[in-house]
Amino acid sequence: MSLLKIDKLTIRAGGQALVKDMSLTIEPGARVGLIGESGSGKSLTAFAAVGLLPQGLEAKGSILLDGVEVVGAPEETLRPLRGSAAAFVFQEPLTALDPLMKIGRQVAEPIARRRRREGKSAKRSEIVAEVRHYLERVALPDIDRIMNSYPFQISGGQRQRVAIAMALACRPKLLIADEPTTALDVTTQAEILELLSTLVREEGMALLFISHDLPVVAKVVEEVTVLRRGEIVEQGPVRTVFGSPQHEYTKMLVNAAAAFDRALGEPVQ
Amino acid sequence: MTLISVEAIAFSYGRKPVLHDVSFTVKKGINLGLVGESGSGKSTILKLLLGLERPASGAIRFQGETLNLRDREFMRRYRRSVQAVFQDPYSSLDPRQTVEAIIAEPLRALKISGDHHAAIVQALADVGLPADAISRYPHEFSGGQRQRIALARAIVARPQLVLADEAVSALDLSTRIRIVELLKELSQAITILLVSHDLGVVAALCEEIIILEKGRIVEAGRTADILANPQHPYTRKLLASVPRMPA
Amino acid sequence: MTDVLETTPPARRTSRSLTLSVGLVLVGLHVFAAILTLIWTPYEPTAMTGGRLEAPSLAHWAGTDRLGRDLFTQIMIGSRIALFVGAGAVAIASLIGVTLGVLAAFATRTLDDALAATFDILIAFPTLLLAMLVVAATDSASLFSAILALGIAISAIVARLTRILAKRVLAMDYITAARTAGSSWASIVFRHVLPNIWPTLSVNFALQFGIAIIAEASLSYLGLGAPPPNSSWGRLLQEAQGTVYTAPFGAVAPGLALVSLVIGMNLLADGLRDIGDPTRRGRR
Repeated sequence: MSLLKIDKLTIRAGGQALVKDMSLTIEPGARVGLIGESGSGKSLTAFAAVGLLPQGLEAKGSILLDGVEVVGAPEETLRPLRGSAAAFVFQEPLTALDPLMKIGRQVAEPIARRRRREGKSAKRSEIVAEVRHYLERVALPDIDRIMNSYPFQISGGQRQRVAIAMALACRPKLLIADEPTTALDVTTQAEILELLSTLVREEGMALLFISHDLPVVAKVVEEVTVLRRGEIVEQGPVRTVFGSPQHEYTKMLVNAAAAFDRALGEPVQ
Repeated sequence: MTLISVEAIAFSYGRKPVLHDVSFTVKKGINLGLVGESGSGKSTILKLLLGLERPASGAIRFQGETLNLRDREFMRRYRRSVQAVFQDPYSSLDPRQTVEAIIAEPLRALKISGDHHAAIVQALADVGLPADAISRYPHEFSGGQRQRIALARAIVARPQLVLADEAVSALDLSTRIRIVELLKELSQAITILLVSHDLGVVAALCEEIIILEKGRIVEAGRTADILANPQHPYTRKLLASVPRMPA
Repeated sequence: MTDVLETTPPARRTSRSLTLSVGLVLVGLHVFAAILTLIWTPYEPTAMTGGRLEAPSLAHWAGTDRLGRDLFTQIMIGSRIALFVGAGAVAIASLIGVTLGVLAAFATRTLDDALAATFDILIAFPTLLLAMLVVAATDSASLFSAILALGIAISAIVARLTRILAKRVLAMDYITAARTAGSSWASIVFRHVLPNIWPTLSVNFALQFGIAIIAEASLSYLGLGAPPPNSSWGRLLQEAQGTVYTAPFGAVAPGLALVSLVIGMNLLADGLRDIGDPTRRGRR
């Protein structure tokens, strides 16, 4: 059974279709990239997948997440899916974290929630042990200090690691990362991409990686879907789509990315 | 010919030093890229060059004269020669002004004589926008078009140097490549100093490059040389971090 | 993502224009009545033209007061006074408030903090107490003293709002762009800051206009407002107080007038928001 099966999804705001007739399947453990520029509907699609569309938007078609129909489903059906079936990592780690809550407590929340769901004890010592485990998992240094820090007291890269730890703590089958490195420095981006790749492999999660940046996407996924103004223009393995793009739009994107890439010269080892 | 020479400047915010002993020159006709990550001090250098802050020590010289924010006559000449483009085309254009008023700002503020309307139409043409854009408002344009408007404002007074602060970073890839092409075209007449974290963009546009780390210049020189043969470990790390297209 | 959320749904637009029309009609009626009183009133305002405390009739649309004067005439004159008070107070408040607010926004940290603290203290200071002080200082309870007191009280609110709005605008890149283009501070204030804070400010002015009218009514009710014969609605309410059980209309009529103008002002304020904002005039 596919983990996520989006079938002919259309999302409308009033009379305007923001996503049109879009289909996408993610198998368990697969790593899929969703490429698009601003207004392509890539983030909307991800939100729709967990039933979190902004007010006033209307979804049609079908989204099966872990076997459950999401389109038109009531909150009670959707809530247990979030976290367990799919967890999010967002672009801006500063706004994704509560500014007034220490990191330790923040990471403990999804852990406590998951433990309740699994019928495990909510003993403080056990939760704290798990918090430490997940912060170690995302390779954060000096965990005692970080657990006692507020988000503004740590670096942007560290915040994104915390956000990843929180997503990981839900033990999701699918990790949805929406432009997770766009706000980060290049060297930090490289580290986070490396971390994401490793974690997804080791935890056996599937990954839906949303980005406008072609080389970044190429680093972490096997398959890509290219969106333009809410419509899929091309779908396939990364090497095929980037190596011999068929659609005019994909060609233009690949050429533009390649132009900047060429300007950098041969990769230095 | 040297347009601007930055001589051993230092700067700090409160007690926190952000620039140490930074020196470089901007030469006419040679686009210069200032590359660094957050905390590198690149934005501070830009602020100093824009005349928004004063260096704590050292000096910035423009055609031999030291930049003096109090000397209004000098600043007027300086601003006439040095204009700027910013990162976010959504916040760098006043939403309540027409494109004409926006582009006219340097002409009016610097009391430049001549036919302003004709100059604005010419600037619009130079950045590839139709003349009828003149009476419209920023919100009627896309991000890329807005950045073109911002560029038209920067070149309308025919400066010698345009300081571009991450000028293409907020744009979509398809737009970014076109704005870089446009900048390349404009740089035949105007020198561009691009401050950016994006090595690919700098490589595509600038003949010379300066790599900054924690307020110090770690490497500087011809872009092609540095990309092919980086000397400093930080430069190597930076280059290795840039994600590349699959072969 | 963001561009999706920023679009205004069509339903909201229609209700906006309805808000504006109702506001315009309500305020327009009062403006019309106020102007009309300059050349014509149903009766002489001071003439005893009917019996005492008559109920509303064809001859006296709002009845008569306890001296037999026509109430409708007095309410019409009340419109004139209310508009005068509102406009006067808001004019004083905007002049002082916008100037100080912009000054604070541009000022150095220390001066800004001092000004901000002053605004907060003034806002905490009861308007009525301030009005009594002004009356004491000018040595007479007049319309002028009431307007002055209200203007000063409201100016603190306007100043605080202006300061916050101006600071937000000053943080925008187009201000840096203007500075690097060579614009002077004066030009930045008049060409960028004021036009950009104006929509929010003007909505607030309309709200303060309504608040000033209510405050003046309270002052008049306490005898600190305009003296007769140019009675404001507050004074009419005060006079009707003693006879509110026997002739309720004496209180209801000025009350309705007051409420309709204040609501009209608020609706107008809400509807005004869109005007003067090119980004809301619809896209081409």
